[in-house]
Amino acid sequence: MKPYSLILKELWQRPTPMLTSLVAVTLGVTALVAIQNITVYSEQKIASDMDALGANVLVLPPSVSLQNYYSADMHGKTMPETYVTQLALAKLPGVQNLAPKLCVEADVDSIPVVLTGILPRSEFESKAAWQGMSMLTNSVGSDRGCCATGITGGDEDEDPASLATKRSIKDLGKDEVILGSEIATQLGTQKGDKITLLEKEFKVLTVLPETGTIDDGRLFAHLHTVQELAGTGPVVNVIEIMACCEDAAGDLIGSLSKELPDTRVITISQVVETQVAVNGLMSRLSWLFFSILLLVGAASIASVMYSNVSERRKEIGTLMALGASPAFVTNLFLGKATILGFVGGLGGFLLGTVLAYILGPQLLDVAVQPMPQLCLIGIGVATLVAVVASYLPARRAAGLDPCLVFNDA
Amino acid sequence: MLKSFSMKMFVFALLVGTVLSGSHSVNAASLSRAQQSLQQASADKKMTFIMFFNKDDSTTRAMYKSLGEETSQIENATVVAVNVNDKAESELVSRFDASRLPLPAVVAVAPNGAVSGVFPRKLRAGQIANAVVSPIQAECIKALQDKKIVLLCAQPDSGAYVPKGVQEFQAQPEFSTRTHIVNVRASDPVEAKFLKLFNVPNSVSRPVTVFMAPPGKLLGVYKTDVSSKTLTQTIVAAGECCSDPNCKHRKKNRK
Repeated sequence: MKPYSLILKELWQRPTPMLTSLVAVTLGVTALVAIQNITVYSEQKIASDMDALGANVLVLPPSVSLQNYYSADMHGKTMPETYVTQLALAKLPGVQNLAPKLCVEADVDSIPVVLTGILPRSEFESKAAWQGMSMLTNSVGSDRGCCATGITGGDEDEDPASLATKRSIKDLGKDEVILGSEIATQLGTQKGDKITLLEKEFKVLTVLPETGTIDDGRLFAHLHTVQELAGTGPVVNVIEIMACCEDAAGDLIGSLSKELPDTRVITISQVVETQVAVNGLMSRLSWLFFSILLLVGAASIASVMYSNVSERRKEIGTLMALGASPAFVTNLFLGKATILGFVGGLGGFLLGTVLAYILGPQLLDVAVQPMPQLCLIGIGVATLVAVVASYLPARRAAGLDPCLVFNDA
Repeated sequence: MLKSFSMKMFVFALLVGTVLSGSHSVNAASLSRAQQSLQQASADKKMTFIMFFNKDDSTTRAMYKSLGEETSQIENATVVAVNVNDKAESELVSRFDASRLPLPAVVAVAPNGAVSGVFPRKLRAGQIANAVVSPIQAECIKALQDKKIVLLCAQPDSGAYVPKGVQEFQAQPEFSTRTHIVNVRASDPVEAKFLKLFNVPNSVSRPVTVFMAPPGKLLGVYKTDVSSKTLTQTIVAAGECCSDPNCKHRKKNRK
């Protein structure tokens, strides 16, 4: 009889003790795979969200606490628009673009809407053109540091739909409005249509593609038009700043706080740092669970193997009397451990992936895909632990003397 | 003592300004005090420094004092103080969007109307002197502020000509109304500081072309005769071709 057949027969005849060990190993790998999977995709989502945001620094009125990036302008507090001009004229290194916003409530055909005033880049460019020949640099930032060149033009840059991804727009007329996808559907409005907002008629410049954010339910018009219609005066709720690189952004915070001491300057990394910290904690916890459950599994396997050796003394003695070498006996036990580890690792990977697939979207709104590298790690570590835990029992079995075994019997 | 004197002078200037602008409000058709100053400075080929303010506080007074000191060292400079809340000056306030400037602020205006500098809150040494621009520099700035493409040709002392490529570029229908060609002698000492910005030597054997696009993009400096094709490709690549979405250059570029 071949060793492989012997192992399978053994597993088949005495499944219960092995199943206990298998469950512990499987749960360890399941915990690792599920948590790591969710953590990795959550980090990827944060990174892609940050890329999509464009702006990575927010300037807010001092009393505002920020809960959600996309609603940074929905707090009702205002600050003077002169801050925007001050930043544009300061030409701080690292500043690539500015996007001030003012939110007011309005209604279209009795449907309540959020009208957001935005300032197109052409406004900054015209201010920059007042800077004499120093204007031959970036419109709002400095030629120092990483912003060697300003925002270049191009067709994509001029597309009003770029507001959805770049958070700013090149040109916007005083009587033009841009609609989020959701509100456009709700109003049954499309590009070129006319709508009345705050008793003024606007032409729909474009409808933004769906972003999955609250911007989908907003209308965007020229900041100065919104200020005039809402009677707010020259104020804004937030100034979004696109910093051109992380290094510059690091120094930029201090410069911004110095330039605008009566404001609150925060970075997007500060906004998401809680989520990043939770991800880090989850990642570390997953390795802890994995280690604990694998230790439990290893102890269980070792215990099962020792009792297995005691129970099978006669069979082992018979095998050895028939000519089986100690190495053959050792391989029988290690082979069994290998199968246990492999099955536990594979089962844990499958179970963990399914769990992550189900829980990811529900817990963290993260779409999860299988991670093959976790399969290799899970199977590899589980098999190694099972083999190591079985090594001493296997050596003990291999050291049995057939004569003594039969005498005992 | 000095502080008290400068404060009195400032209050006097404000009073004169208010009285003058009040007298102008009687005749709606006439220009405001500041507008008149600008017009006069333009006729006299003088730089005008308009100080916009909204309250008589220490910052405003300090800035006014600095402005007076700086402009006293400059020939042909006029200073005008404008309260942004003064209804008589609303047109000027609107023209310079002064209600949205961090105030007080000084706006430097060249004789041809080009804005050559904006200095909010505080004046630093040398800022006012740097805002004084030469005639050709003012012409280029004005054209750029009027959203025109500028082709500055720095010419040799003898044998001046506008490069054929520049002429052909301007002749294209897409650019004809938007292109402004400026000729300057490379050895002109008045323009030396301006031309140095583009590393144009003061002695050239053939025209050097400086290519600029609004609002203030330096697209290229060509020390040999540049072709119309190169200029067109450069401006299309910079995204400053034209606003027409059906423009043939933009379509070609997209391919």
